[in-house]
Amino acid sequence: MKKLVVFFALLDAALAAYRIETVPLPSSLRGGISAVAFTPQGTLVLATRYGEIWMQAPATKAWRRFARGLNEPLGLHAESESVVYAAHRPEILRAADTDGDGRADDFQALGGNWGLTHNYHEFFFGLRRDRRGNFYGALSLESTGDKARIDPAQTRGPLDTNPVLTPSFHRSETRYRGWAVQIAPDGELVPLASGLRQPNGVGLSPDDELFVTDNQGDWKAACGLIHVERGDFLGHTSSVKWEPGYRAEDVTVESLWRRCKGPAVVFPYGPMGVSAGEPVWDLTGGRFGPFGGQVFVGDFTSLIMRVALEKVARAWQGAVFAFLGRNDLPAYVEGERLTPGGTRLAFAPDGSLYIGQTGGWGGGADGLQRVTWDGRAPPEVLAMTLTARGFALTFTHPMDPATLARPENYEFDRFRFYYHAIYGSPWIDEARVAVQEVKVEAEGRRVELALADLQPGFVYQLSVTALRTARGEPLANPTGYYTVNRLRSGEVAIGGTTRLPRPGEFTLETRDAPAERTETTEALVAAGEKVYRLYCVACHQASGRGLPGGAASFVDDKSRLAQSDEQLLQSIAKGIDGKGMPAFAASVSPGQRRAVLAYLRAAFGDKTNAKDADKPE
Amino acid sequence: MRRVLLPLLGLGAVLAALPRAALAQTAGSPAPLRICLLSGNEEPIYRSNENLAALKTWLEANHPFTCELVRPVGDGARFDDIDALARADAAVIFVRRKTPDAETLAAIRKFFSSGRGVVALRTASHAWQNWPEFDVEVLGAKYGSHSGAADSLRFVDPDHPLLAGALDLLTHNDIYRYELRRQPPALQVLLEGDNAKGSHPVAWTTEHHGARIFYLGLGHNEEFAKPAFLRLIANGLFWVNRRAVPGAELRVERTYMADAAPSAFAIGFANGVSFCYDPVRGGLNYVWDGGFVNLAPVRPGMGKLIQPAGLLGAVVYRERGAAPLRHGDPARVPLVQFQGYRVGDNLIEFHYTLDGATVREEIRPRPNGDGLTRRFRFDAPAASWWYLPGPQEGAPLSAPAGQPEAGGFRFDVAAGGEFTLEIIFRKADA
Repeated sequence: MKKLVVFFALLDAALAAYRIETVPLPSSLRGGISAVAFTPQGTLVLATRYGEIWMQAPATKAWRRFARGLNEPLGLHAESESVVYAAHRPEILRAADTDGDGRADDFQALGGNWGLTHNYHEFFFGLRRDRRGNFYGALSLESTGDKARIDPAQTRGPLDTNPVLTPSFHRSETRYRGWAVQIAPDGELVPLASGLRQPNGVGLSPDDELFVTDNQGDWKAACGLIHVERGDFLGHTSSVKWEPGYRAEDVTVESLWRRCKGPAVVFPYGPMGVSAGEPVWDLTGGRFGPFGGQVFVGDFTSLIMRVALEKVARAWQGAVFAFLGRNDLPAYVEGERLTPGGTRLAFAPDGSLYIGQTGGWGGGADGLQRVTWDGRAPPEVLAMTLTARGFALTFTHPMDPATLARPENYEFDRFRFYYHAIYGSPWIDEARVAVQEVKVEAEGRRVELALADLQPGFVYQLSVTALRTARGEPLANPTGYYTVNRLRSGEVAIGGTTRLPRPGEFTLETRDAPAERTETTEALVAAGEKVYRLYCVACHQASGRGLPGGAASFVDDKSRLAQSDEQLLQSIAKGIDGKGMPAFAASVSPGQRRAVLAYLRAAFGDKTNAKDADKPE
Repeated sequence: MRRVLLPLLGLGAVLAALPRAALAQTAGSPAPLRICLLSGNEEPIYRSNENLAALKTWLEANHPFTCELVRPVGDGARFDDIDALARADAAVIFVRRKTPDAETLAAIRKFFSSGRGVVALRTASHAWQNWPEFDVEVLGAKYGSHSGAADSLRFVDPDHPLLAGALDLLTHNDIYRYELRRQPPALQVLLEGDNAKGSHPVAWTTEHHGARIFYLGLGHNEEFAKPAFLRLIANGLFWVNRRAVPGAELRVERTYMADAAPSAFAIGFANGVSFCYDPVRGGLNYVWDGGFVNLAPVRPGMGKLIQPAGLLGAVVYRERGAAPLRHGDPARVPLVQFQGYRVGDNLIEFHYTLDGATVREEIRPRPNGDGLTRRFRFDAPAASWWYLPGPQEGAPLSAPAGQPEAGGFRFDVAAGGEFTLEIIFRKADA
């Protein structure tokens, strides 16, 4: 009898919330899923990197190939079962089935007044359409990764190979590379904002405001969700050369930093993924859970983030939490785990979330998954908003009043980044900020927190691992990041959450934590685990098993850790050419690199196997 | 017909050859194809006389072919009507280890150097005891005996026109081992069979003396009862004659092509003739014959460095002039603005504006497969138009209604009018 009571108590605990399942794809579909959309009638529409467009009838689930032969489409606007707009490299293509056979036969080009060459990295991301019929997209920079000079004979539009300030690994040698653009219904191109790098996600808010996610790199301290308005400069220098009236002699790092509009919400590299994708708004009217109106963003690693935006002093900013992929205990998520490579999201008419996955950008797998809500709210921070003195948190469940009332249960750490030409940025000017006062409201569903110090220009990390719901459950994702570009008072920081390095300041050795200098293995391993969880876990996973086809598995591929310390430290610092492994020299100090190596060997190294290797076969 | 004759480069044997059907060149449907079915494999598991007789009935009932069945006499030193080869547009060869006499062998060798298409079945790789190098010389692969029963068949390029409607083909019969002696684009494997011993090429296309060759390494009695197998043979006969394979789709790929602006078109017709269209230049840049494109160089994954798509055939026509279509003043380079395209039944129509005037350029294969027809239509008042191809290679460009002028053609086009250009890369022989 007692057992039975426990059983019912668990059922009532309302833990399970989301179910992840794989959506079967037609066997003749080729290429990873590069766009997901639904027609107003509810037909699922997919694009693949190999240029196909597929439709699945909602009733019969039968697939048909609507079009093929597009040049790497990365976005869709599905107007109907017979008209689909696709963002592909050369233009927006309107594909129409005019004879009713279910396959497009008429293709109309719109826009396309941007530069195009043979550089592999000339992606055109999109595609969103506003109420007036305008389309929105974003053009990535060209990459020097292919080490090939652009051939003027194979260039559409003007070619300008002069760097802006210093040569970048990502360049804008043809027109509007690195820009967000609007394309009018008649095809006229309106360049909106410069300063993008790899803007792999374009979204429109319910009020038709444009948001773009960009990827970390040089001049880009971290990924994030950027609110784009006409005339903005969004950080990466290469593309400003196409601004009207641009004169190279007028441009300095400081002048660009002063203009730079940072992300409304920064996605700190590691905890919040490494390569953010498409933002979509939850307008399902509660069918996808309690997060209505919030923004969901898929990251290339197995991660979906949840962003709560708010307007502070007339500008958008807000907080990001992990949603799926960081703490997918069976208690919170049923079915399958997220497949890596999922940067394309779309809400279905039934309120479920579809995730399109693409390999080939550094691991990950090609596929399609679907997330449905089972009607039970997961224990989460529902929203984190800025107040005059700190932050207010709301929760999806009533919280345990005892844990809620203790100021020490709210850990705030703030940090910012360098604005510089080096890939990424370390977290700088880090500081713990004390909570002075906790005000519990709404029967434990809301707290107001007054902080000892609140300044604009910092990302505030919140960690509430000690909080419990009234039923005693911990939060599913207890860590979040609020980007304070502005205070309620209207006080604004220049350069978003970045500052310029002081002369001679940026030497990595200066920021080794004491534990990272230690010679005692235990302390070094412990420090290394922290570094691993920050920078490595997104790709190599907590299990060390990596991503299929991508990040190495230290568990399954023993040759990885069989390398010498010197080789491994070199790979961490400089990255691995032709693989997804980035160079961490700019963001991870030498001490941290030693520490993380010690952790790798302690956690995943296998001494017994070394002996086995000597055995004759 | 007026014609600007330009130097023919690199065409080689292609121009030497001529299917008889090419003589019956009309705008409408071409003459039926004459097919010689050459039988010579009496093994009980193959029974070529019976199987090819049934094939003849099936082909003639379903396709515009007239077939002559040629059978061995006695031990196969002679055939009952080997001269049928000389009358045919193409042949199906299903022969095993025959030793033709000198006169017969001469007729056979003559056929295989005539540029006529060949569908070679199963044992044809070891058809002639006194022409043992036939497999390498004509089929492009060294025969290496049996590999055992196939577990499964894999279609290497499922969109190849030759495979239209035949993708459900299955077999668990024995497959052969082959050592391929030609690399793409000279040889393109279409079908592979897998078994415990590995993966083996089962069907491929290649070329010999300008003739298209389709080798299909299947042919047991039970294969002839399979619709997909018969369909493959019929498709092969269309394809080796450069006739559109029924049911095959127009292939369109917007990709990175050599000698073209970025995001050019590769278009593949259902008869295995393909061309590159450059939407920035505003014209057709080159035509190739055989397979379509290998897109692997454009899709390197994390290797990142992209290379142009590989052409799986020989270039038979090329032009290079900037903005080849002109109006008003042939010396002025107009502004070309790509507008889109429309696909139809084995044709494509490109839409663009030329200094604001709308142009629709339809490109389709000539019905007998010897070239392409380009039809230009205008939404403009009566005017003179020029087509200036610039430096050319390969086949000549001809214009039924054009006046040779300024290194190209002038057309006086009425309001709402049109003109056509022809690229004919195979000639009828004398």
